[in-house]
Amino acid sequence: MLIKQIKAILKYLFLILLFGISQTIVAQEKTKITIQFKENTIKEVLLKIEEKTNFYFYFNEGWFDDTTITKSYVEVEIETLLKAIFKDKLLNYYILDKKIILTKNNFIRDDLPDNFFDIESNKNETILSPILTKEFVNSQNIKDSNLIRIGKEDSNLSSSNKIISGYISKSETNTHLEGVKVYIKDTNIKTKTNKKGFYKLHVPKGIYTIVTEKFGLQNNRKRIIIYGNGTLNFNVQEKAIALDEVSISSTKNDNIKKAAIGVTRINIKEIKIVPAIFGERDILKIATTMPGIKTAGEASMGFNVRGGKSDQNLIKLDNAVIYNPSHFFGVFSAINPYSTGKVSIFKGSVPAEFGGRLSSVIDISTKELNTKKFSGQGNVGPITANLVLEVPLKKDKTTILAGFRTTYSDWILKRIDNESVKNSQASFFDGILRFYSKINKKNTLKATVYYSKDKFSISSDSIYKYTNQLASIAWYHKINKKNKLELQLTNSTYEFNIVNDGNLYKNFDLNFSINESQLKLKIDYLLNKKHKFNYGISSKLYHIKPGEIIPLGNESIIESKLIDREKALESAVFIEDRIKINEKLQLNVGFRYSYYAFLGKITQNKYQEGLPFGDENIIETVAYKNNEVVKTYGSPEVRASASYSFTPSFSVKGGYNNSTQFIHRLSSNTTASPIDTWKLSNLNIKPQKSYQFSLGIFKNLKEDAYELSLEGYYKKMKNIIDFKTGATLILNDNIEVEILNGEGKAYGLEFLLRKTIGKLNGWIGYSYSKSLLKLDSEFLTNRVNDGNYFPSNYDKPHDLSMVANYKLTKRYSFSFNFFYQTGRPVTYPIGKFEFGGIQHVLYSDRNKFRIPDYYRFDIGINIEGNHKIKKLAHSFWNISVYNVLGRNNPYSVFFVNNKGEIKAYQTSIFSVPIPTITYNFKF
Amino acid sequence: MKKIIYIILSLSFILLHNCKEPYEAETNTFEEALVVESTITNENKRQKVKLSRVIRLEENGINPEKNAQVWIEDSNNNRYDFLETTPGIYLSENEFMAILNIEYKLYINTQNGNSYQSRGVNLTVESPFEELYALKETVNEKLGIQVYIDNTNNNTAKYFRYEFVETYKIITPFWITNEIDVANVVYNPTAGLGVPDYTYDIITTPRTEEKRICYASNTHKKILQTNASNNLENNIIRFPIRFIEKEDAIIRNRYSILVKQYVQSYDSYNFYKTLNDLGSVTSLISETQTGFVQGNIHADTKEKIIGFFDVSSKSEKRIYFNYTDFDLTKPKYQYECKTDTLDYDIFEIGRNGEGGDRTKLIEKITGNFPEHYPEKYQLVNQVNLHTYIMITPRCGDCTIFSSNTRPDFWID
Repeated sequence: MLIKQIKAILKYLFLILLFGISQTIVAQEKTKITIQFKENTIKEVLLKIEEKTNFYFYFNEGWFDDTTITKSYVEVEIETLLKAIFKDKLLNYYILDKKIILTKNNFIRDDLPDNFFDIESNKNETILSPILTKEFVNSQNIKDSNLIRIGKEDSNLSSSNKIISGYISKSETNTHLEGVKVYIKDTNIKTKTNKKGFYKLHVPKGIYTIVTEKFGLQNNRKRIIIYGNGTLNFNVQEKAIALDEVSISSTKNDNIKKAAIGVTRINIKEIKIVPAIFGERDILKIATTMPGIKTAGEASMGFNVRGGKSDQNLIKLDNAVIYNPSHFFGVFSAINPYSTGKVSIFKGSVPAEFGGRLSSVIDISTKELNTKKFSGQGNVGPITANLVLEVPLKKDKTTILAGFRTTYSDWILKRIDNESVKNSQASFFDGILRFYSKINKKNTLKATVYYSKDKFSISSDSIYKYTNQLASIAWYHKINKKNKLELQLTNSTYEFNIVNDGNLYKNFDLNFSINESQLKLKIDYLLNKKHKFNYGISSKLYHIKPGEIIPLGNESIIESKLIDREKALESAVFIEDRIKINEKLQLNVGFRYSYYAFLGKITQNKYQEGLPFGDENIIETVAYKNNEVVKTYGSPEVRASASYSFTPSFSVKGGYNNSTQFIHRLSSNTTASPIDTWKLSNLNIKPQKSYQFSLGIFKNLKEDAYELSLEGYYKKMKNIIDFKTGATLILNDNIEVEILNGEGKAYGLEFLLRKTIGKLNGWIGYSYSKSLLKLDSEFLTNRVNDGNYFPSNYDKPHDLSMVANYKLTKRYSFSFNFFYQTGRPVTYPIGKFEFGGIQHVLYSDRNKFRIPDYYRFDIGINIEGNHKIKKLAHSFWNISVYNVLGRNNPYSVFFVNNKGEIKAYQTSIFSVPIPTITYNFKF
Repeated sequence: MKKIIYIILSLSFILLHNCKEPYEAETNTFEEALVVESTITNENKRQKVKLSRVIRLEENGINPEKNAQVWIEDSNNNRYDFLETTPGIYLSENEFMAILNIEYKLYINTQNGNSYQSRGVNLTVESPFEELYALKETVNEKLGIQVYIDNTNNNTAKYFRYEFVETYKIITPFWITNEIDVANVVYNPTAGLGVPDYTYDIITTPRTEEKRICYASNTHKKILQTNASNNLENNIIRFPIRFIEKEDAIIRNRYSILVKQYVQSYDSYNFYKTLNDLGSVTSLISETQTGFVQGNIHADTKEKIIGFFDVSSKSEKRIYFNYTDFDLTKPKYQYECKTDTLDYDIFEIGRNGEGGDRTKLIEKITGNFPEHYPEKYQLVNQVNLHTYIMITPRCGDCTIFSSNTRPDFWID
């Protein structure tokens, strides 16, 4: 009823409008124009006409091509002039009083076809309907730009079928294709291409979908509007070419086809479901639940990827390296979950553009910013509060994201009625600013500034602080259809500081900082469908202040000491080709050459050849001038992988990877600590190297609902840095004397079953792996465990993680985690003996024993706020219980020698279940 | 709601901060191992090899390795056999000295049938130190005497280990002329209202034995090492050996220190150094890497063996000094001296239920009452027939804690 009324009103309005227009046209004066053009573009021509007359043109510049007009007209009518100008163009014009409206393809009618409002009544007759707005309204899914216009409409309605003809070629080779079926969807109109790849169809005017089809080729569909006769050429790809380069997760069964092996991607959406400690959603923590990545338990910094040390992971946030991505000794990661988009972990095939770390590249990127409207997201948890805002500055072009997270733990700690807790401090904050600007179609600018600060004290007299500072800017430029350029400039700083201010005589202030700046140029070159290259160059400058200790106060007996600063330049060239040999076989071949130069100003010891580094073997101490090259290391690196798809859902992949690392974290502790210093390779410390082979089988089940993978790897490492028994590392001038260069060996098998869709989703990961180290030398002091392979500090053979989420209704979902890990190796005191009149503790062989196994079970419930459309903010509650079983997982085991009595102690972080309620909101 | 959060938080933070707890370490981790300690030197003497076994963490003391067969062979095919003189201590049958450019190897067959041998070791370069001296100095804000050595031989010796033995004279602050003893002791358990009582005779005899002047020796219990490789021409100047605070009673009278220097090889230096470093307290800043310390002796089986066979050139020097040489005031005696006047005729129970003077007196004289007086008190003076002034034992008899034999080397 109502619809009929509206229809009636519309009809009435439309008629009035048209009637009015006709009136004005009739009343129009016929003016004569004299004008001449000389190599003028259409636009210039139109502007000239505007100048000469009082007509105004309405048009879209994009319709015009570069052709120019050179001609003179004397005393012509405007209609004649326009007809001449637009003779060969796909443009129509319409004169409305003093306005001239140009249209592309469409011819503006000033009358309605008789059947416009009553098409249905004329069903049986073949009536040629002109193409009008009504049809556009009906074809909802199609944006104007997706439609291909064919031919130019004329005012003649009589000629029935239009002829569409064209040429079909193969896009990889540009050769013509014979026998391709071409048809108009939902009609009987069809044909095949001839020997030369041409086709011809007779089609009535209207909007259609035209389809090409041939076995082995991708189907091609195009929405077309047929105005008149015209041509439409197709460039057809071979089937199943994945063009999507940015995000693999968006393309189904990519995990099967892509050549890269040992790549894990986590999408921020996946982490919402996982119960977390103190309700902090933590993308890095989730990433470490994937097989092959191990942490030293809860609240530990750093992680070990495929049997590598924790300093062998290149962690990047928007291209800039983040040295310590954790807060509170690793209870939380320092990456704001609401500003994060995704995390990609390369533990097997590392793209050639990355280098400088042996084990993995962890690439964290800020989410795609919302350029349309102001939005925000945040949460309030028991310990932290977080707010992220996205503010479009210029719609569709420029947006800024600001995120800030802080803890009020200090405020809470002060209120706790417990002496030892009251005096402790623990606080952190982190902030991120992300800027995105689409300058134009060809240029995009992205920039990030990040800062995090942690402050804590364990005893009342010492305060530890550490900060991360990052800045990165990237410019993306589209050179042409095949070449894209990316220029990055990044700077990262990590600093820590220890102030001891309780013991009058031993007060000190100890500082460390590392800074790196990188400039990187990368070009993507899509040669053709078979070869996609990327290549580039990067250069990184390091500055390290290894440490300075300053006595505090006049009473302090601490001697002030400053260790030489270090400087180095790490550069690389890289090229990678992603090759698609055929439908089944894909290859990635990458090559990288790293060149490292350790620079002055510094003094270095030279040691006698063939003898271990020791103070007694120093031949001379050389002082190098500022920027003088002390030592260089060059290293060719190969990054290759291949995949062979037996079926679209089953493939086998293999890869080989080698890399070099020039910067090392000095840590004799099992777990990384925020006060570990970093050291650059120099005259005496060689770069670490690794060589990895990996092999895997990948299978998708139930239309990609389940992803199943089994990967194996074998890795050899050289020059792995370890320390002599009894080594001390902080403020050590000649650290090379304490360092042992070891050989590492790691191998393992990783299983992952992942379900990403459906009511029940999550993953089960299991890995069996070994990580071994060998420290051998002909000199006794440089030998550990008789020079045999022994388990590294992070050798944890069995590792099981299960993360599951069940969506009961739209509002309620339940989730649980279960983790199990073999306890890590530990060196035990096993006896006592007297030597030189003093009692000593006898330690076992290094890492001979293990601490008890680790396991943990967490549960969580997410309750979504109601889905009222008009609500200001969308919200959800998260209730979770961490460590439901209350397992007292030992974090470390250590021994205290108290007057000859050796006592063992264990520390654990969370030994009871920890419930949390968090309120999250989004607007 | 707020309250709940508080509770959760305080709970978690207490957990975070009070997270240290005793841990049942695996007890079956104990490993049997032989411990070998031997440094033979270029001194012609009966050289020593010390053998023991590792003990369990909860045990104390030393577990000597007895009845082992021990010998050294040199590259000139000489064999030096060792004999067990005291449990675990093996001395060479004959005197011998290590000679430069000859390689020595230690062999051990233990009574359980296992065999061990060391790597071949050469005598280190001789580098006797020139100077041993003491200076008045303030160290760690404390005034005292610092003993230094200088070694300026300009040769290739780089690694040094030091041992020192200090010997000092002790003079008791009280001059005792008579010994006191008891005879005819009658014990009466029921007398004196349930408190045991004694009757006895007191005998005094003139003191004949020297108990006033003694000599004591301390061997330091610390691995003391230095390395000269960073120094100009491998010279060692003012290496501190021993610091004595000005109040220390060991310099109350004449003091002497004997410093022994062993020139070490790189391996032996590092072995001792690592042992020493592992013994030091671990700090929060940097945890020391723990592990087994590999020596230069190996078993024929895969068995673990701890220890080092060192062949080291040795030199030693002795100096003497008095506190007066440094303008210091005389330190106090090392024991507090308290006199007590006791009357044999007083036998009433004391206020705290203890025995009367008569009981105390016999307990002090005999020193047979460990819960009260484990050592014999000395008689300072007899006031009258039944009243005696007694003094803390060590203030009148230095033989309780030191030797009254004057060492052969002693020079006054």
